[in-house]
Amino acid sequence: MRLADFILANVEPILAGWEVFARSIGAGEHLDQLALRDHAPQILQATARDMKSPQTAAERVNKSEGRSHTGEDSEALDGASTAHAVERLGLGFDMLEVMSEYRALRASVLQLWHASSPAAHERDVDDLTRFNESIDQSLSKAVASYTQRVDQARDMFLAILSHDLRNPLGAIAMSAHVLPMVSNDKAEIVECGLRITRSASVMERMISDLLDYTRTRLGAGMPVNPAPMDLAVLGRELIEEFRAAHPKRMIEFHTEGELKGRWDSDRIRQAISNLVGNAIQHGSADFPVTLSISGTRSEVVIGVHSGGNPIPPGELPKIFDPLIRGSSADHPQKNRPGSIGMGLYIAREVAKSHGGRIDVTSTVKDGTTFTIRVPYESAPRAGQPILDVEHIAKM
Amino acid sequence: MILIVDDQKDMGAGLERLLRYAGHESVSVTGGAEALAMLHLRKPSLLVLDVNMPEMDGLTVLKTIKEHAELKDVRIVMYSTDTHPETITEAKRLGAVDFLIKGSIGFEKLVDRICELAGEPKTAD
Repeated sequence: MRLADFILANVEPILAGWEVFARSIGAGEHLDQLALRDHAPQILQATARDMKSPQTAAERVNKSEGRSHTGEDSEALDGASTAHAVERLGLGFDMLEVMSEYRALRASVLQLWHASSPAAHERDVDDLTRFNESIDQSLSKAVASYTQRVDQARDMFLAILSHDLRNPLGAIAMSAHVLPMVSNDKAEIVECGLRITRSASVMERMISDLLDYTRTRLGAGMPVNPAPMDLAVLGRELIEEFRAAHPKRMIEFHTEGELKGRWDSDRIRQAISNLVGNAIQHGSADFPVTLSISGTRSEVVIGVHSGGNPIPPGELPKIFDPLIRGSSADHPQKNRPGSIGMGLYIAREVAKSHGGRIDVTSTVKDGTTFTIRVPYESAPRAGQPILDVEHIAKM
Repeated sequence: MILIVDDQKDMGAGLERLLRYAGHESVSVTGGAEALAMLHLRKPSLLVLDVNMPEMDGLTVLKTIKEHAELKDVRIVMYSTDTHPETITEAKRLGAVDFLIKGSIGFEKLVDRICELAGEPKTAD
């Protein structure tokens, strides 16, 4: 059988091999079959159809040199490859992982084809050449699409960041400007000082979030200093702070089971605070925000629940990555005041750095729940300096 | 009276003080809904409006006011860190008299411009 026909007749077994590989990549660990396969069937079918379409010598040279391709089948392949890269980026795959998937796809097709017809045929060389050309076309399109999307997201992210930092900086500058005018009014001087202090704290928190993001994004890891602590006490303190800041909102707190363990108190506080803050901002005021912390035999489960409009299903897998979430025109990101939209990302990194994980469910009927699970004991992690020479060498 | 709408409370309060010490009566609120409620009680000589706000963004507030028979004459100037040309064009299309970018204009010039737009003379220096 010709290779193109073999591909069209064996999409399912080829995809099964692709799926196993995609799942083995860290980012694909918790994804379902549909998400993992995403545009792979279209890429495969478009590849096979592209291979079957006639190709002149000039077109072959163009293709091998990465220049533009023409024809309906070739365009279908480009479209599927572009969409695949965007989806993979959204799911947290890095560029090397996307390229590895193509390597796996190529290997999977060729192994199965070879196994199906061990006797070599002189047409095989032509088929293999056409197959490799099509896969390379798809790969180069996917890489271009991935890179373009990352650049767009980064530009938007930087714009959001500069907007969010400018506001407290503006408030500081404005208060500093007012100070000489109010030199005879002690109450006003105090008020100016308080505004400067509050805005400086907001900026400090934003910069700290940005540093956490940069550190973890570069793979250096979030430092963790576990010490004995009681999550019930921490939870109660946090809820009291939120109730004081949002007197009109219903904020509930429930605890159950053993909640004493060894965790990094500041980090856990940061994660829970980010989740509760988000729930208050995005949840409907008609429903309470509930923080529940329960101890099971092996782990502690921290749940933050809110009601109101659910998160669209397509957004759920991307919600923890600020570079991807909110970078589309359809869903512009709106951060709560004093935040640069990294709360969920940092919550996820806190959970991971404690040997745990974070999940989210969101439906009209049940509302939205973020759940962090961490074991009772967390190992200390030093993290690494971002510009550590050894670390850079490994990148 | 100049009404300032900015979800960043300290930013609004800072501008309020700045205008007050420059001799203008000014009030700041932190959201569009609150601003709309205030407009029904008293019309300001100028509304200074932020764009990026979490519950009701500035362009929506602007549109709502300009579509309201009794409020449409309120003069509105946008004051924002949003520098997207399409935001600025849209704000002007909806009826904003000017679009001032936070951080790009010194405070003295800012006060002078707001005063000029409000049509209120400075009463003190």
